[in-house]
Amino acid sequence: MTNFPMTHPNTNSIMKPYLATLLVVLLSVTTIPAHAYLKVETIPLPEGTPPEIGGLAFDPDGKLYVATRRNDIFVAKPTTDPNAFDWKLFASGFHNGLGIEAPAPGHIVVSQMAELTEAIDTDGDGSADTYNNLNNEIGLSGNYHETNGLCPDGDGGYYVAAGTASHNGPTFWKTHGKYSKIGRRGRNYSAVQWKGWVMHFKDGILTPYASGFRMQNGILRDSKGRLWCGDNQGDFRATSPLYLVEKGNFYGHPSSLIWDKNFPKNKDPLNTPQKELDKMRTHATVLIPWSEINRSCAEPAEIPAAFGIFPGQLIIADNAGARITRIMLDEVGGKLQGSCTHFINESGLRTGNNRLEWSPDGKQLYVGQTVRGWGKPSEGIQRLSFTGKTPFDVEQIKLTKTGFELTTTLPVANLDEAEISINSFHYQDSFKYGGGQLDKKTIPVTKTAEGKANTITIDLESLKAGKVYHINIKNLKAKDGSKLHNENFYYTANQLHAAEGE
Amino acid sequence: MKYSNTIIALLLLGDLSYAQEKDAKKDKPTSIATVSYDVRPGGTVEKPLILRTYCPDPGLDDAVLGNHGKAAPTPKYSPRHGKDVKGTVQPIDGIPAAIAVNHGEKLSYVWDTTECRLLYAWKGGFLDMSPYWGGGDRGQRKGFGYTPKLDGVLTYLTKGYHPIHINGKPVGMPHYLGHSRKNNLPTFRWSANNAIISTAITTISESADGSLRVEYRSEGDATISYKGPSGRGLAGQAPNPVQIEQKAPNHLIVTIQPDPTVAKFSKKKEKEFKGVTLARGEHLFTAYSCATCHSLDGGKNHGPTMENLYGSKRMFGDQEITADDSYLYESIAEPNAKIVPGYQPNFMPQLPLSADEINSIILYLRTFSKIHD
Repeated sequence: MTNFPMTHPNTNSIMKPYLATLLVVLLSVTTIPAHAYLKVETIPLPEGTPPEIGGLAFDPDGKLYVATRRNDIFVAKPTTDPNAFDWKLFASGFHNGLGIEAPAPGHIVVSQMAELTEAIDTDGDGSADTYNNLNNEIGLSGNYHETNGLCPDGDGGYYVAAGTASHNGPTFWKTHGKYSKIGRRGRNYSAVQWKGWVMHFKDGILTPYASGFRMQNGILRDSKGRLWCGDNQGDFRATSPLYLVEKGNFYGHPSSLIWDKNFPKNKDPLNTPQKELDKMRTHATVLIPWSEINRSCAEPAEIPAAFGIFPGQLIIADNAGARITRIMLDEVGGKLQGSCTHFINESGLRTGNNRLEWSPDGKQLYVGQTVRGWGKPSEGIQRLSFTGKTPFDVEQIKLTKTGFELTTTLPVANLDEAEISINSFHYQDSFKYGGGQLDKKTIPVTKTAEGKANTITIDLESLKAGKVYHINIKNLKAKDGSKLHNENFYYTANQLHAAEGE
Repeated sequence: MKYSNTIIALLLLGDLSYAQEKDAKKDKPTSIATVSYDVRPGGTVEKPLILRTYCPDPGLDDAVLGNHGKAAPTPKYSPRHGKDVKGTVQPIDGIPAAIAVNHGEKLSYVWDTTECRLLYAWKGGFLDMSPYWGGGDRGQRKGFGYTPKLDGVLTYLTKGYHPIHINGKPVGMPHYLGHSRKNNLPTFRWSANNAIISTAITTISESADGSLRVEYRSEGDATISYKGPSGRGLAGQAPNPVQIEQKAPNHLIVTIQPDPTVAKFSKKKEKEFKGVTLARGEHLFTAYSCATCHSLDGGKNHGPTMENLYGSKRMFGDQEITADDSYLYESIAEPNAKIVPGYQPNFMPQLPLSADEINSIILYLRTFSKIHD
């Protein structure tokens, strides 16, 4: 380990060709492809404001509230012109507010680091004058990573998604809430209460709802009353998952168990064998390939019918990519599972996609962005709307007894010319950060056929539960001549349909 | 937390880089926002800045923070091996759930929502947020020392148990209720012993030395009194001189005179490194939280793993490059020079590192590779 050059090598000569490549890559990112079905507009915040977006919410009057990382909540009535928002400061004094709801005009609820806070404009002058601590029973160790997401419970209460701390930062000597020495250990840890939990808050009372999360950055209650959150790839997360959150379930990251009253007192969550964790946990509804589809799942949202395309489907933001993931749910054996592809990939969208909020009429999707601390700032607000030009895409994927049934948005022209290839693989969670696609196999396609109403059936030589199926489609065209918008789809087959006679 | 009398550092404004930075910020645009990219935010007497953030702990005693949890050094964890390894990670000083308020040069204070009391006050500046917010517009947190720094001279530091008694009894476990902002001034509301108390803090406008005026009221008929600091370990520590005006059984005003002797600050001297050493490399790797994006165990993250990186070969276009000293040097000095296929440009910041520092990091990276030489 001695005698190697200590001088600064001449980086210039080596760098030049790569700078050129880089430039080309950057340029291609900003070019909007002709087939784009989503219009992307960029909405500036007041000048001089770090636009690190932690939360977005519309109040019943249609005003948009924006929570930023450093302190402030801004409000404006959206205008057609993205540059004409007349921003006002509504409230300040929020430490990293990463969840915001606006239950009434001039009344917001914010999940910030140390508490769930309500801020109200009681005198109607346009800025909040009363700040109430709704609850501060979720502890705060002083770690930088302990952020809280928020969504309404549909009944006047809220769900709070409390992320774990990171071993890339310490705790303080003095913590808000009680400290657990055992909970402090590990990579992403739970040194204070309810880190790694989804909590329910109603009528002043905070109750534990579900555990086993790592960094569930953003939470959604959909129109059917189902609760969803993503999580970030990392320790005990081989890839980015989407979870259906149900009361009492454990979702696989052990650190939160230290605060579970049903977890044996003499056991160390971190030293629980992986096999035991695998038995205890509830599987992800959809496993989202990290590199291919979503590097860092942030807030999920449900596409309203008024948007004009993919009604009722879930989407989930990628905080570390210029993309948003579309989820296609399927029910098999009474349980939800499903597949994923891109909702939007680049096409003018920036990276750092953190929060998703629909305009009250459901026609526009507001995207709050921040890349915080670990990247070149990519932040602010963008607004997506449907251009009205339906792309040729796969709208739905259903598992059949023999393979898959795909529904496309437009009639198919040339199934006989298309190349459809299918791979299967699985993920294994472990203490290691992330995990690869294991046991990758090509599964021969035995038959493809066209059905009624824009469907394609794909029969496979074999199907196995517990696998992710990668469906790749090349050279498929619609009758109107358009090419397939997405070519790659990933179906998580937690369950298979029961065979005949069972 | 504990400050040693042998390490006493006065918080003065003599930092040259700060003076330069302040000059450069004079022409910043006015904004409706309370904070900007300026890492030294501030308010005015008319419009105080109410900042919710992690706050410094300038040496508060255990009795003051009695309602906090007590952390401890924790075994160092190796995410690569999934187990504890030799060494410990120390907690850092900081107050997690407090509110910092700045009235301009004359008054800054920290009121804590966990203890429901005024913890300390200072004058001069407010907070240097750069360890937490990062310099400029980049937002790069300082790995293991991100608590914002006090900027100015400490004038008041509370001591012992809660100074207020309610109906003749000490404050039990207080609960923060919230605050109101009449004329932009926060009045904190909290409950204890079945009573609701409010606290408002201002400066005495006619006082040149920055005396504090702390006004307490109880809602309803609970009586309140000011007992001042009490508790173990206070011997020899003179509290700030105070004047108490009991306006009514449920209303009192406490005037606190500044005390220059409280301007002691447990500023731990950062370890100084020289030359190219493995220890320096490890220190920098931790300080800049490199492992947030670069795993040590082969895991894929925002950047390539460090496991077996050194000496490995990778393709850039049709050119094969060995990850040797000069490649690693370039990758640290110019993060966008070569982007490994599958990763994105612009994620890694260009860190202000000297050649010795970069070479120290390379030494450290070599330890994650089977190919060391």
